[in-house]
Amino acid sequence: MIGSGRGHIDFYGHVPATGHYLLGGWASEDLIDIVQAGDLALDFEDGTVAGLASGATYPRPALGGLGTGIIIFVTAADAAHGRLQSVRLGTGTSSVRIVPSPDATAADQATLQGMLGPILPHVAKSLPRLLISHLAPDLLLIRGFIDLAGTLDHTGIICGWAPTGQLGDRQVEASWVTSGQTTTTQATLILHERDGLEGRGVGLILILPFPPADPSPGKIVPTQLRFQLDGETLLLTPAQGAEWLDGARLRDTLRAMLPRLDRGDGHDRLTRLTAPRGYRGGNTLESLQDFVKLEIDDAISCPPGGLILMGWRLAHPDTIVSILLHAGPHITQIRPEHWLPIARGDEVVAIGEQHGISDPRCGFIAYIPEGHAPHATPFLEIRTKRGEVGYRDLPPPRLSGRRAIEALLNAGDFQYADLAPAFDHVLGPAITRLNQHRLARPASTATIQFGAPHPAPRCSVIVPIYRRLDHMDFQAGLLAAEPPCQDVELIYVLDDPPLRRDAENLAAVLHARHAMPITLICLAENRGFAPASNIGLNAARGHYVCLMNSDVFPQGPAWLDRLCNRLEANPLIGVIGPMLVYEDGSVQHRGMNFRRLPQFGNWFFGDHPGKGLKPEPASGLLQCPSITGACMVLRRDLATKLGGFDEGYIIGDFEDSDLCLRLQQRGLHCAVDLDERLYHLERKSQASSALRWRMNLTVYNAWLHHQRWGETLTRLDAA
Amino acid sequence: MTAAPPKLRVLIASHGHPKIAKGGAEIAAWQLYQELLHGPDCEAWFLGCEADAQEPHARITQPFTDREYLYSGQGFDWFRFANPDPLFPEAFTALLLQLRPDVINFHHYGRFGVEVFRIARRALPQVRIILTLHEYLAICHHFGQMVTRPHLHLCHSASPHACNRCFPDIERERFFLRKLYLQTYFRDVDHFISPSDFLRDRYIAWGIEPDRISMIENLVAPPRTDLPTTTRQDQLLRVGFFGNISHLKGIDVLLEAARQLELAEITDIIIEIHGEYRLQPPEFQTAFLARLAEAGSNVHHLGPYDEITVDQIMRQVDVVVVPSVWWENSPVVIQEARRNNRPVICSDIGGMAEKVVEGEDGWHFPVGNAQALASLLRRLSNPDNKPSKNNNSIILKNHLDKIRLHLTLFLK
Repeated sequence: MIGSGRGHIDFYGHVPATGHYLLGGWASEDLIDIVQAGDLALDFEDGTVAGLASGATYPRPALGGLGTGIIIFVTAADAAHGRLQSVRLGTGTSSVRIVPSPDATAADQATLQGMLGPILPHVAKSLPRLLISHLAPDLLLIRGFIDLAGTLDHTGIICGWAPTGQLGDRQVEASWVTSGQTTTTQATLILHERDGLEGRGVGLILILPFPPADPSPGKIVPTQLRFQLDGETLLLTPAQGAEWLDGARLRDTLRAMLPRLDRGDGHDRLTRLTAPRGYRGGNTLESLQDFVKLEIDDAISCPPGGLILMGWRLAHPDTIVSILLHAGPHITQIRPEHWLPIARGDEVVAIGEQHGISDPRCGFIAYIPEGHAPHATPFLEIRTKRGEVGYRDLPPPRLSGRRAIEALLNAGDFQYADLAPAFDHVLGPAITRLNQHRLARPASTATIQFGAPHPAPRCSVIVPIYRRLDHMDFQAGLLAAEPPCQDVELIYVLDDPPLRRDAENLAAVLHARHAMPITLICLAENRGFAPASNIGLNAARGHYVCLMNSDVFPQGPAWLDRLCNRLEANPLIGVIGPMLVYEDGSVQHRGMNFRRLPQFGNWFFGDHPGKGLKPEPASGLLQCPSITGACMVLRRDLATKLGGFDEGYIIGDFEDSDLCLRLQQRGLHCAVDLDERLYHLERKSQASSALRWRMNLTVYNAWLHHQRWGETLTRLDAA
Repeated sequence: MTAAPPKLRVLIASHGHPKIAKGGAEIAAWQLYQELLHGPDCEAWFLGCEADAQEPHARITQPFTDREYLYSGQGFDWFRFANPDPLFPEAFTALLLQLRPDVINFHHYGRFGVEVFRIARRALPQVRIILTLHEYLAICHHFGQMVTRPHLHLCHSASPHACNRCFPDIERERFFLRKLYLQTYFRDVDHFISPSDFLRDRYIAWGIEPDRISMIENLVAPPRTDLPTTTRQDQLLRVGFFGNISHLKGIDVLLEAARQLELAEITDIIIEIHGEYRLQPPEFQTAFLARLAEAGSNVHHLGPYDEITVDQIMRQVDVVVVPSVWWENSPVVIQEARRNNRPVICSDIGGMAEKVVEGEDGWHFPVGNAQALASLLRRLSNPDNKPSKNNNSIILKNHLDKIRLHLTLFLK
């Protein structure tokens, strides 16, 4: 018999794709059990469809307690025809009949979907997935989020997270929507543990064979990404703040993730993608969308781990975001303060102007203090604002030692405001290191003794020789004609290897001609005034030493004896020198003061009072802050204790005042003996100071001197 | 009876050797050596030099007589007069210790080097060192001529600035050092001999103390008595030029004067040019031959001569012309003219003007002034103005005076 329960069918329809009839309506509470599972017969005008029904209920408050909403479905391969007359639920006598409402009609799938729309979320769990996947596929999606998307070497990358998923790599068919267009392709999916999810999900990295956006309209994070994962459909949408990245930033982000990925194909692919595998030698800057030109004239190794680059760069302002040095395992970004712009010649500037770039200071010296590996083949990575990356190979090192220092100092004209940044961050530290490295190897010397040396000389005269053998010839002749000191020991240190044979021959002639013992020390490489003087100092045996330039010439005999006597008489005098005059008798040196030069960083420079003028009538000892190293006399044991001249000063400058200041730290004085006069044909034995590098070398030495003594001298200045 | 006092031991040292190459300074040194050798007062030796000799078997050898030595040097620094030969000091010292001279009279310091004075002093602390100067070499790097480069203007005084203008490639300081060096080593010289007052004054101005430098003319050969005195009957004025044919010797001035005489159709003045022109650069030789052709038929180039033939040739002329456009020192040709009783016409500067007394044994004309020379020659071609002759006995006395003066200095 038919039961007494009540209900109505509001809509019905056949879903051919899944072979189901689906019905929706309401039923009284007592019918619920039957509705959820029981036999079902649908009586149509043209016949009956019967089967085992399943159903689900959902709340319909509008019924006011009369009943509850129901959805019933039954397998039916084919649709019946005609109007639904009634629905029978249950079996045998316990069946219940529900009739459709008068306006209920067979609905097509779209109508069904429309009717089911609000209902399905309530009943989805009770309905077959297959059915739902047809009627309301979104109800089956797993939702996740996209954090970032971008491209690396024409490969698309989308990263995000989803609430579920097994870790590991797999291939998926992914489709995504960008600017309303849907694209579908095979992709590699990597699921990984990701920080910040705390078990709420997994990280996703999708590697696409091409960028997830058409580059032309712009680089946009896809609005939707969908793929099947373990039978589920994943739908990813952009999280708030999702970003488009490409190039360097994307690479950096992915490289940071790599350590947490399981090993596998995906890991390998990402490793390859993010490694600087784009560098295959040469220059790839041409392929960038932006005009970028970077030419390296010289790459100079700056041991232990530094590198100096000299060249020129042309690009519109802000195009280049960063430049990185790759060397073996190291990647180092060049810091802005280590990038020293240099004025370049017209021909280079003209190249820029062809591209609308007006940059006369497009040359540069870049100093990378650390990050260079000794045996690596280094190259540069240039990242642009667009996120593109270009590479630049570096020329093999050509310069080292003194030639490298010369090249750096020849590069620019540094004065006033340019000076301190140039020297504090680039030239100063770089040259210091180059010089230290240059001098790290012990000097190789050959000593030739001409004539039996004095057994116990009172004073050793130490003269470094560079270039001017004629000075040595003149000077030795004048010293021999009028001996400066009883039992003088004359030590020449040849700091000019190519002149070795000439110097040996000359020393032999000088010895024969003047019957005077001469010690000649030949250096295997040019080292500079301070190191050469120190080598002479180590060989000296006199109680006193006279450090002397080859362009200082005596006016008569015994002057050195008298200077030594001064030292003997007053042990508080640490170092003493004669007055030095030019050939016309005007003053070259009568003690040095220090003076700040505004065009050179306001650093302290040696100042020679009275220079160029005839000497004032004065005699005796004049105490002064410093005296010149062109001719200075001091006790040998003291000189040795001080380690001689500081070899950080290159070629010859400031090492004398440095020595004087160190003596004063020990409470000793510096003095000029105004009663003694020697000629000093100043600077003629060094390369002309008209040379730019020579000028800048003086500035370097001043910088070094200022680092060491700036505070002390400022204090003295104020006092 | 007292023993004869020991003879003064004198070494004459010259930067050349007349048996190898003849030059005024070498001949003067040799002449003095000969006089001392054959005189009663001295034991004399001669040390000469040979430049860049081919493989000498020792630095100092004796290829000639047993009193003559020859030093064979290798290279020389003509800027600073330094001797780069490391073997010279020892060889020279050994010679001095062997000869033990009381006096060394250096004629020139080329080839030996200025250090030679110091070496001698070291070997023989008591030796008297006399240096006879023959030109302005210590003062002037331009062959010691004191005329500027490249235009050959007369130079009055050297200085680093002035010398650097002549030699832009040589820095001023090197000229300063050169002088400092030379003066330092000149301090070992006890006395200097200058063959002219003019040269002496130049050296005093340069820095040699006046009491350390005396003027004694160079010795030349004594007058010859074996030549016949010829008397010509013609009314021509024969003018002779003797010497190397070069710009500085004033050949252009002489040829220009001759050309003007030719234009004035003067026919009673004959100009004879004796000397070699082929030692000069080719462009000079070409120019000389062209000028010679223009100078007219009264000019005759008669080629080179030597010290054997000079007296005879000189006696064929009435007057000797010395038109040099540089200072000259003490030209041998003036002494040769005097020896042969020939008056001298010379430029009115330097060592020439000093040696020729205007109106007495010759005439001066303004240096470089061809017009003035031509006028002077025209005046002298007038028979009333015939030049006078010198007295032979005075000349001989002068010769002996020079030897005496040398000996006096040697003994001081």
